[in-house]
Amino acid sequence: MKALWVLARLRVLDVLRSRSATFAFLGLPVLILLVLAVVFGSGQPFEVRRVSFVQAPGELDPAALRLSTHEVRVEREPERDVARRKLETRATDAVLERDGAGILRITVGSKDELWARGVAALLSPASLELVRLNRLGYVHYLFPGLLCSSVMFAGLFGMGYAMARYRNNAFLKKLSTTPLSRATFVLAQILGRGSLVSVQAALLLVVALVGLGLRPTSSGALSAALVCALGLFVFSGIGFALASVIETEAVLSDLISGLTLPFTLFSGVFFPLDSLPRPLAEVCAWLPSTLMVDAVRSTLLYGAGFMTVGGKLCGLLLWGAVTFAFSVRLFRWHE
Amino acid sequence: MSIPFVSLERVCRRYGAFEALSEVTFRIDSPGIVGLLGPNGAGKTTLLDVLAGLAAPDSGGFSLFGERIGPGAKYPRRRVGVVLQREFVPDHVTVHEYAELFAAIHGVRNGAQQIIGQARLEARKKLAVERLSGGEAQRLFVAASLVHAPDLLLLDEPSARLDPVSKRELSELLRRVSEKTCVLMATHDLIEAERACDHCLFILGGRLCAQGSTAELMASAGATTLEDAFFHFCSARVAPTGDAA
Repeated sequence: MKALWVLARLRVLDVLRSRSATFAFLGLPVLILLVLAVVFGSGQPFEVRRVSFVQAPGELDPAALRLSTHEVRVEREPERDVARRKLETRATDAVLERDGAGILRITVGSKDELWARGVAALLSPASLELVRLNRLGYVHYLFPGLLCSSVMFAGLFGMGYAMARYRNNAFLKKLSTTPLSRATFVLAQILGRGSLVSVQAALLLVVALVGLGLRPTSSGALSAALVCALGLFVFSGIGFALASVIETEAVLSDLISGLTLPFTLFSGVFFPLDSLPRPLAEVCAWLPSTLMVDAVRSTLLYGAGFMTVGGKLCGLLLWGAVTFAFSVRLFRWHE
Repeated sequence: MSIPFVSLERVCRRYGAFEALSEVTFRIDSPGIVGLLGPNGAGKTTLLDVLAGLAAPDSGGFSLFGERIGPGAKYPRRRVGVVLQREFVPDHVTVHEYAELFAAIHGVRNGAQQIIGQARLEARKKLAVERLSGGEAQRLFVAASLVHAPDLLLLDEPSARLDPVSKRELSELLRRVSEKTCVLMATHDLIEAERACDHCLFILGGRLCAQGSTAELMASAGATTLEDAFFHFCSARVAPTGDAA
């Protein structure tokens, strides 16, 4: 019986003796609860209604301004096709546009008829068009986020955790006694991870194409692949930098677990960022995960070209440069 | 006078306030097996780390093959092989893959076969390294560190976890290697050292107590075993309850 208590006590102490494990076990759930309370204190993210207004650049249509005063997020969308694809994927709730006679037309999914009639009454005169949306549309919306999450995990865990493990077990120390260069070692790690992620992404894409009816253009798919490669480079850099600073596998594992939550939740994987409180949304818009998810979604779902998402790619490149500069500076073969 | 394989001059190395190496001076002029002998915590691993270019001396200096090693100097990695005290191989890596890695790093064509052959693991080359016995794994690590035919081989307690048969096999392998290579082997197994080493360095508390050929050390101590010789030279420094050798 005494062995039972001794073993149980040792198991408890195993967690409590590590500050990071204690934080991850006791502090993190409370912190997450508090953060979620602040973020979603004024409602769940799907309460927010979004409208895509098909309009060329210039002064915003008065109808759009009117809607904005009624807690509706209005986004200007120059291309009608893109607006319709956003409606299909539930990235927007309605598409508004003026016909040749200047009459407003509201296009919504059939389930939103009641709400759309209210909008039409508010913006009268307006016509209503009900369309039958693909029932898997929201899954299509999630797909780029899922793809990017795989890339993110591969970079952070695959690189960061593996490096910490290799260093703790003196494998890096062993390699440092050989003529192997740092650059060769780092590139080999990225190449290895990149190959795995490519296979993983290809599998996901096949399932999405065959099973979920996703129909990206070939240029969109290629652009998304390039964005994912860039994202892997960035997150590998972050993982590598963390592994260079943090010595133990356990602490690193806890930290990466803590990091992946905001990266997943507040990067537009499940819902658009504008559902978050404005200051938080503005900060989160610069997260590498957000830049990657946005760019992949735009290219894969909405047919945006590689150049159209140039700003986001520049942001990702900047993240990559900074994290790798840190990695190279902080990297140690051994303790 | 020939160019020494290793030459240390008053090397000191500290970890905070702890002095791991203090004024260590010695040279090794010819191939053979040199035992670096001392109890746990004597400074053996630190000394090997310095020689392997993994830690820099705080003061003093050292040369390998006549070339001064220090800031700005290129460490001759292609002429040195190292076997660490605790070798690690990533999970599921097979004997052949491990051999292939080190052959590729050193750019040795057919090096993998050479490593496997030298370790006498031809029949087990598809096996994961973690499934090898302690002796087999150690033979693999030593063979991998020899693939590029180094002039200096540094081994940190290579026989620490081996059974007597494996120890004997390892000794025979090192004996063959030492015909052309300088083998510096840290160990606290004085019986093993007496059988294997041509020369010995006794180290205790970071200081060298004595050095010379194994036969000379035993003779000058009037001892019949290397263990007695060690205690003869280092007894003043060994605490009564210490764990010397």
